[in-house]
Amino acid sequence: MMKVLAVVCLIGLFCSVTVAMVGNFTASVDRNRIAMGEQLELTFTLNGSSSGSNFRPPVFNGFLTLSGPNQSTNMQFVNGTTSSSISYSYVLQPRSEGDFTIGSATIDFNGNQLQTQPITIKVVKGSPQAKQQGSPAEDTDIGKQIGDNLFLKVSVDKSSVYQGEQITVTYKVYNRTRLANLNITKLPAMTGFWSEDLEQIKQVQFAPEVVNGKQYNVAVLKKVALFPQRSGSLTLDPMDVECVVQVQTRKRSNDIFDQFFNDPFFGNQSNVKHTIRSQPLKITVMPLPDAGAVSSFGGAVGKFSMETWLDKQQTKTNDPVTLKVKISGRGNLKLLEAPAINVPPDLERYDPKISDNVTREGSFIAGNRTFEYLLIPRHAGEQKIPSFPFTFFDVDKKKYTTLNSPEFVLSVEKGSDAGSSPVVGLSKEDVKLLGEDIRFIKSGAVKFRRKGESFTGSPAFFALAISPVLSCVGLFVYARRRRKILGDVTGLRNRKARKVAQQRLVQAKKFLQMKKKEEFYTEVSRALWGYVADKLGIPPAELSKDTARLSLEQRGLSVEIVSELVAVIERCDFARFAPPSDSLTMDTMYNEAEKLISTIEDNIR
Amino acid sequence: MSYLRILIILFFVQVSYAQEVSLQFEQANQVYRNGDVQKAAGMYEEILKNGYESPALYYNLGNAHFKLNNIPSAILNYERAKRLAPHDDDVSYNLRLANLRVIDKIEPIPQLFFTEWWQSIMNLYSADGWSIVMIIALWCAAISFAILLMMRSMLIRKTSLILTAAAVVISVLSIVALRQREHQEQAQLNAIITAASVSVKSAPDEQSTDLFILHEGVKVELVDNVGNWLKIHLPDGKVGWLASASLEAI
Repeated sequence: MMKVLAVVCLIGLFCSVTVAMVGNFTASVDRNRIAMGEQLELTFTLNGSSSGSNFRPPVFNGFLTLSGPNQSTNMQFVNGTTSSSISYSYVLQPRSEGDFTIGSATIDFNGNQLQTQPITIKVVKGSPQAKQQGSPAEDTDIGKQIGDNLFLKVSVDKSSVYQGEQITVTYKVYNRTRLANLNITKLPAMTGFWSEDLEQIKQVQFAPEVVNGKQYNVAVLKKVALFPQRSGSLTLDPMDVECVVQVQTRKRSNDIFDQFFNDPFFGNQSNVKHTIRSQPLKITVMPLPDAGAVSSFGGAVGKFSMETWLDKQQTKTNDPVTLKVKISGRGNLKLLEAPAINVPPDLERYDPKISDNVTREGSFIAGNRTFEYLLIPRHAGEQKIPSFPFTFFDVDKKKYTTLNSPEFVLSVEKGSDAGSSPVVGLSKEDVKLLGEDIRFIKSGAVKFRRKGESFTGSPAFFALAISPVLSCVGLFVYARRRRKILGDVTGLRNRKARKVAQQRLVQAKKFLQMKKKEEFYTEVSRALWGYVADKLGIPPAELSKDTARLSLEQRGLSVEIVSELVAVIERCDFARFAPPSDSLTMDTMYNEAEKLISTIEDNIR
Repeated sequence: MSYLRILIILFFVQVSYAQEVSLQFEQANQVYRNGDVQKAAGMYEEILKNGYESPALYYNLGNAHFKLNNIPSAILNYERAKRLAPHDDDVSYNLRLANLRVIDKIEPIPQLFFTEWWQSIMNLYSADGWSIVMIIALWCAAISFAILLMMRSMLIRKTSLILTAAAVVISVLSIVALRQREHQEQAQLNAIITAASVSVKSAPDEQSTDLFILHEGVKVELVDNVGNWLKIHLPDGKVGWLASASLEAI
C-alpha cells in the first residue's frame, strides 16, 4: 500500500515561506547491519524545504522493496522560525547475505541537483527475530502498530538437562492489544523429545502481569513436559499463533482527519489477522554419565519404584500364570524398556503386554507402566523365577539406582491333561509304539537272593575257580617228576646215541692214523654196539646179536640194514685179532660204519 | 563236623527264607493281577526292604510304577532289573517303552565298534553267569592239559594242546568280563533323575551357572561326588553337577 503522509499545518498555510535555505539532502537507514528476513527502513530527507522535485531513487540492488517511496512532509515552528522537510522512505528487505551499497538518490531543488551519499548495508545470516510473514506493507504497518504489544514467549524451567530428564516448556502470549481471537496454527514439532501435555488448555485465560513496567494480559497457551530422547543440542521449533487483532486502519488518502484522530476511538476499526511466532529454543541435553552405567539400565530417568507379583503361586502344567511388573514414579515412563527377566526354560515366556497410566503431578509427569508377562509352565516341578533388576537414573541424586525384584518360586503340578504336553523328539514310529502297552509282570519260579550277595566272589566260586588251576599245576609237577625217574636214561641215551657214536668214530679215526689196528677196530665196534644199545634203550651188557636184530627189525629197519650191521660188527671183531691188514681195509670199515649209523638214524622209528 | 552241621542248618534257613520271599512275591503278583497296582507296588517294595532282590522283582515293580504313571521310578526299576539280567527281553522292551515317555532326548555319542562289540559280549551274562563260564572254561583247560600230559599219541596231544589254549583264552576273557560286570552291578555307576526338572550346575555349588535342564527319567552316569553333589555325565558327552537329592542311583 502506498502511503503518502502529508502533514499540512494549518498555520503554515498562512505563512509565506520566507526562508530560502540551501537544501540538505541526506539518506539514512535505521541500521546498517541487518539479518536476513529483517526489514530495513531507508529514508531520504530533504531538509529546509518541502518543495523538492523530480526525486529519483537509486536502484536497490539485492533488496526487495516492500513499501515506498512514502512521501512525508514535515514542518516545524521553533521560536518563530519555520523549518520544513520532505522525506521519502522505503521499507526494504534483503534478498541475500553480504555487503550491499545503496546508491545515491537525487532531487532537484532550487535549480540545483542534490545527491545523497551512498550507504553500505551489511546483511548477515539468520534472524533471531521472528520475521514478519508475507510482509506486505499493510502487515508491516499493523506489525508496527502491534509491535511489542502482542508477542509470544516461550520459557523452559531449565535449559540444560540430562537425556531423559523432564523439561517443562511453557508458551505464553503477552497482550496489550485488543485481541479478538487467537488460534494456534502451527504447533512446534518436538523432534527428539517425548512430549506430554501438562495442561490441556481449553480456554485461554488471561491474567494481568507487568513486564518492563508495562501491564500485559498474559495467558498460557501451552504447557508441555518434554523428555529428550537423545543428547546434544536440540532445538524446539517456534510456535505460530494467528491472532485476530482489532486495529485502526489508516486510509491512503490524505484525509487529514485520519492524521489527527489517529486514535482507536476515531479510527477505523478493523479485524486484522496477525501471526505471532515464538523464538526457537535451544536446549542442551547432556548424555547420561557413563560411570556406573549398569547393564540392566534401560533408559529410565526419573524416580521410580517397582512392584512385582505373580497372580498365583501354584499352577498346573500348561496352565498360564502372569508375572506383573509395575514401575511407577516420575520420569520418562513411556520410554521405559521392559526389564529383562530370565525365566527357566521350562516356562514358556511371551512378550510382555504393556499398559501405561500417565498422570500429572503438578508440573511433573508421573504414573505407572505395567509389564505383564504371560508364563506357561510346560513341565512339573518347582520353577524358580530369579530376581531381576530394574535400573533408573536418579536425576536428583545424579546416579543410577537399581531396584531388585523378589525371587518367585512357582510350584507346578502335573496337569490333568498330560496328553497335551509336548512329547519331545519322537518319530512317528515311536509314537505308534507309545500306544502299545508294556509287557506283563513275571511270575512263577523266581530265584531271590539277598542284596549284594552273589555267586561271584563267594567261597564256592573261588573253590571252583582255583581248583582246576591247582590241579593243573599238580599234574604238571607230577608228570615232570615221573619222567625224570622213568624216562631219563633211555630218553637221554636215545637222543644222544648218534652223538656218542660220532665221538667214538672220531677216536677210531685217530687210531687209524696212528696205525693202531686193534684199537681202531675196538673203537668202531663199540661205536656201533653202543649206538644200537642207546637207540634201543637196552643196556649194552644185555644186548646180544639176536636180541639186537629182533628189536631193530621191530623198530622198522629192513632186514638188509640189520644184516649189514651185524656183518660189519662181526668183521670188526674178526679183524681185531686177525693178521695185520692194510689201511685201505680199515678206511673202508670206517666209512661203512659211518654210513650205517646215519642209515639207522634215518630209518629207525 | 559241627561246622558242617551249622552250614547245613544255615543253608536250610536260607532256603526257607527264600521260600517265604517267593510266597510274598506271588501274593504281590496276585494283587497286581487283581488290579490294585498301588498295593502291589508296596508289596514289592516290602520284599526289597527285606533285603532280597531279583530281576523279576525289579521288573514287576517297574511295571507297577509304569501303570501308576510314575515313569522315573519305572525306569529306575527296569534299569535295576537290567543290571541283574542284562539280556532279559521283557525288561529291555518295557524299559524302551518307558524311556519314550522321558522328555529329554539325548543322542549318545557313537562308540567305537570294538567297544560296542565288547559291551554286547560283556552283557551276554550277568557277573554270576560269567563266573560259571569262567569256571567251566578253567575246568576244560585243566582236563585237556591233563590229557596233553598223559597221552603219548601225537594227534591226541596236538588236539588237547589247542583245546587247552582255547579254554585258557576263554577263561581269561570271562575273567575280564566278569570283573567289569561285577563292577557294573555292585558299584552305583548310573542314576535316574527323579526330580521333575533340575538344572544341572557347572560346579557343586547352588550359586554356580545353570548349564542345562534335565527332566525326570533321564539316565545319567555318575562320575564323581563332592559332599551332597554328584558329577554326572550324559551319553551325549555333557558333564555337570547335580544335588544328590534329585536323582537315585540304579
